[in-house]
This record gives sequence, C-alpha cells and structure tokens, in this order.
Amino acid sequence: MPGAASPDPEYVAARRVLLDALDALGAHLKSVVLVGAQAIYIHVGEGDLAVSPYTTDGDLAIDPRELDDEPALAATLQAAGFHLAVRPGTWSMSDVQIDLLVPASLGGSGRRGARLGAHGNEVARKVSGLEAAVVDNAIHRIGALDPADVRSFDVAVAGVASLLIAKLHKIAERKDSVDRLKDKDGLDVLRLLRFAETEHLAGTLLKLTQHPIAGKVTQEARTFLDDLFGHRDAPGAQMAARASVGLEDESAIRVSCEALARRLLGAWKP
Amino acid sequence: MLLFRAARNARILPVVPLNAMFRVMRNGGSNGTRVRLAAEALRRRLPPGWDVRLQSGGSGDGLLTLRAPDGRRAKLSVLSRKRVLPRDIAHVLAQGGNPAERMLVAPFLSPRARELLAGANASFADETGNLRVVVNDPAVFVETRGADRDPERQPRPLRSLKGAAAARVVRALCDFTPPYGVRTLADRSATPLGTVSRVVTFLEEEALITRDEKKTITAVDWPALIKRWVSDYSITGSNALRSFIEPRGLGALAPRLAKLPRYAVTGSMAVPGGVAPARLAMVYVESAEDAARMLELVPADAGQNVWLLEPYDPVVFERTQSITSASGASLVVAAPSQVVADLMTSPGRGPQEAEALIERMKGNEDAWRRKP
Repeated sequence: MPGAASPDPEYVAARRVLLDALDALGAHLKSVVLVGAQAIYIHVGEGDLAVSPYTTDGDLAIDPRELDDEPALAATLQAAGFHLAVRPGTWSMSDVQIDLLVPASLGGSGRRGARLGAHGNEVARKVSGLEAAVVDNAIHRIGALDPADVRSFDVAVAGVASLLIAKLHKIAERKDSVDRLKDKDGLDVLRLLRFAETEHLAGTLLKLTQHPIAGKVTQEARTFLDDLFGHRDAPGAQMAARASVGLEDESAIRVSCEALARRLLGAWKP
Repeated sequence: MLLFRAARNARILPVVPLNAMFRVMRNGGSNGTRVRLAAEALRRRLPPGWDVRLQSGGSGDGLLTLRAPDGRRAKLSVLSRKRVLPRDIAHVLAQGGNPAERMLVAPFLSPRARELLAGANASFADETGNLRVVVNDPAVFVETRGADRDPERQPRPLRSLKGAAAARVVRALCDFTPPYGVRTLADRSATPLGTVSRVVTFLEEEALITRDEKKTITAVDWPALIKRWVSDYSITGSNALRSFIEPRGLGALAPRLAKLPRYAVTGSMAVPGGVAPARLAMVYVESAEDAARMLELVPADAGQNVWLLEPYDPVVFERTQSITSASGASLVVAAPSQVVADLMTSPGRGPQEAEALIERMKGNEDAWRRKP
C-alpha cells in the first residue's frame, strides 16, 4: 500500500529514527500510539496528491493510564542515542525529531509538560485533541523502508477518526498564526477525508462522541470541521490550498475540502 | 451501370416507358443527339398519320416540322441546352422569335422550369420524359410527365468531415483493417450507404484512403485521416462537456466508474501505461447529470479534474478496450482512434501525448485494428 518502489531517502531516514525510538521505548511500547503524519502515511500511503505526504518528525502519543514506572523513559531514550532537544517532549537524534505527546486531559495539572509520575514532567508534552487516539487505534506492524534494516515493531497506530480529530484540534489552536509550515496540516485533513469512506468514518466518530475520554474532544472536532473546512473559503480549506500551491489546483483543493467535509458532517449527526 | 440507371429511371417513370432508350443515352449526349431523340419521342406520342421531321438549321439547334395527316405544317425552332435552370428560361426564350414557335430540349427540366416554359407557350422536352408540344395550327397538344427531380443530379460534394455520420465512417475506417467495400463500411459504421459513399469519395480525393479498380478500399492512412478529422472535430467542440471535481482525487474515480450503465474513458487516462498520471479524467457517459450524481462529483467552474462528455455519437462506446488503471481498477477506454482525436484536441500536453500514442499504434496495429 504505502510507498512507491523506492521511497524518498528522507522517508527512509525518518522511518529509521522512528524505529530507533520504538526500539528504545522497549517495554513501554504497549502504552504508545503512533499519531501524526507518519500514522496518516500508514493509512493513506502516497495518495494521489502531488504534494509529499510525509514529514521527518515522528509523533508518539503516550497513554499515561498504561505507562509503567520502570524503566525510566528518559534514561532508555538517552541510552538509545536520543537527547531532549526541546523541553518538554521533543527528543532528537541525527536531524530527526520524535515528539512524545500526552492527551491534555490525561496529562495532569501542568501547563505544557505532562505529569508522568516517576518519569517526571519533561519527558512528554500535553496536547489537546489526542484523547481519541488512545481510544481509536489498532496494532500495525511497522518495518523499515530500507530493505537492509530488518527490524519491525508491533505498535498501535491511531485510527483515521482519531487522527482527524487530532489534526482539527491542532489547526483550531493555531489557526490565527499564519505559518506556511502549518499549512500542511490542512492538507493532511484533506488526505484523511479523501481516504476514508464517509459512512464508516462517521460511524466511528459517533462512537467516539459517546466515549468518556474521547467524547469531549470529538464533539469539539465536529465544530472545528464545520468552521475550518465546511466552506471552500474557510481557514482550513485555504491552508490545504496554500500547502499545495503550484502542485495542485488551488480551487480544486478548496472545493474538495468543502465537499468532503459537508458529506462527513451530513453523515455525522450527533 | 447503364442498366442500373435505366432500371432506376424506369421506376421513376413507369408511365412513359417509350422514352427509355432516350433516357438511357442521355449522358454525354450532344446537342444533336438530344434534339434527334426529342423528335423521336414526339413522333411516338403523335397519332398515326402525323409526321415529324427534323432538319438542321433554323435559328437554333434544329428545325422540327410537324405535318398533319391533312398536310398542314407547323415548325418549331429547337434549342438544345445541357443544363437549364428556371432563372435561365426567360433568357433562353428571348433569343429571337416567337416563344410559341420554340422548343427547348434539355437533359432535365424542373417543375418550375416547365411551368415558366408553359406560361410562355413554349414547347419543351427533357430526357426524363417531360414533354409538352403545343401548336395552334395544325392543332397539337402533347403532354407527358417525366421526373420532377433530376435523377442525374449528383449530391453536393463533401468538403469537410463535420458531423456524426462522417465521424462514424472515419472511426470505422481507422478501426477496421482493409480491404472492404463501401457496403461493409456502411454496415460497420451504421451509416447510410449514400453518406458513406460521399465520405469515401471525399477521403479518396484527399488521398487519405486508396481504392482499387473495383472500388474496394485497400488502404487507409489512418494517422493522416485522424489528423484531417480533427480539423472538423474537437473533444470540447463536438461533445457536450461538463466539468466536475472528484473531491477524493482521480485515484478514487476509476473504481467507481463501474457503477455507470455505460462509459468510456478518453484522453490521458485512456492511454495504458501513460508516463505521467492523468490530472484530468475525460469520460464519455450517456447522461452527465446522472453520472455526476452516481459518482458523487461536485460541479466546478475552476479546478475541475473530471470532464463528463455526452458524446457527438454513440460510436464512442463502440470498439472500446479494457485496461488496468494506475490504481489497479479495470477501466473501459475508448478505441485508440477516438482517444488520439480527443488527445489531439485536448488542452495542455494532449497533442504531444497523441503523437506518442500514434507512434505506439503504428507499432501494434494488429492489437487494435480488427477485421471488418
């Protein structure tokens, strides 16, 4: 499914570092969910948008409910060659970053750093909208893109519905700051909307709406979807268009956002 | 050929079989022959005892003398013309003498020409059996009815390949490997024989097809024929086009086309193993409105990635092929001859893609041309 015959060297490197991180997390792997662009790539593949779908960053959500006190997260990551590049939560090796993220409502009282008990307050960062990812996910076997690298790990990957919710929260939080780098989040939403079968996605979202942990962020995500993508001139649709400028037709992208968002909203009636 | 024409005319003129020989000989008849045969036709229509003599001279092409059994005579000055239109009648009759003493002879005289001649009291005869001779003294009135439409009239020669019928013939000429005759071509292109003949005559004059002495089509220069066709045909001008956006992208469109009762993909997407992924799907459908609904397409003024085309003729659904799309779905694509014409008249890189496709088609004619 994902990947052409020979993926971009950048993807290969990003996947390698992700595997390094999964390797380092070792016993904690069971409390980790892959989210963000790499998770979208696992589902959607290259898609047929002309814009590269991947980033070199890896986003890993940690479910504190499942996290053991030992071994110490920071120590195992450091032993594997990572260092804490940005506090809290951003770990780096070579040029590639891994972000350890905790759903805001599960991350304790701190403003940014997640309170992770024995692991401290700087290992991972609180992020709103990730709650659905610890509920809606499935185990995937993730291997290297480099044929010489034989490692593979069974790890939970966030489902399309929870990835959509997380992206919508991320855009809603930052929609007032104009940043070309964040425009790709708009395109990621379009990727998910294009890939997902509308009725099936709406069914999952409806279930998540009822969930004690994911319910609130899922309901909020519905409003964000309407506000950000429900019209071709809405901010999210414009972000997607800007992210694909020169590669895709701008109005096609904006109209596609509107059409698919409206279809999903129509099927996703709370 | 002569026999055929005689038989056909006999059907048109069952009431005047006497003139058959006259009609048969009309082609290439000189003025002299025409006048002589007109005199003969008149002689046969007059009662026994009457005599008709033809002399050369007079002010026209001959002088006809009618002699009654009692010896009274009347003379008609005969004018023979190869072609007479109603508007020429006044001019012809003005050429000296009393119109009532003139007889106009021509291969064919239309009803309007005959009306004008009769109005001027002139006599006339044509080679289809229209005959009217009126003389006051001795009193003669002979009138027979021939054809109202000129059986020899050639259809207006074709000057273009505009229209659905010509397109069907062009498509068949490309898609079927010669040799074959016009009847087979008419059958395969579902087009009336007369139309096919006109198209074939035109294409032969344009040196786009070759026929042998038996008029069998023996060769078709199909690349040149398609190039000639697209000076009269274009994908956007000849078909009813509506633009849409498939919000999920073209990869999602291909597998869903199977929902449609009938379709044929053309343009870049119809080229198997095309180099670049198609950015615009061009799909012939029976009803653009129905298809757009079934495929969940969004109407678009800008940024369209799907064209739905209601075709100039259902021939676009004929001789289609099945290919596997980039996304792995099975696709019904229009015949290569149609795809080439559509690419040639498409925006963007279409014309270059058409040239590349033509080169490939030259290399594997057996794969896409078939026996008629």
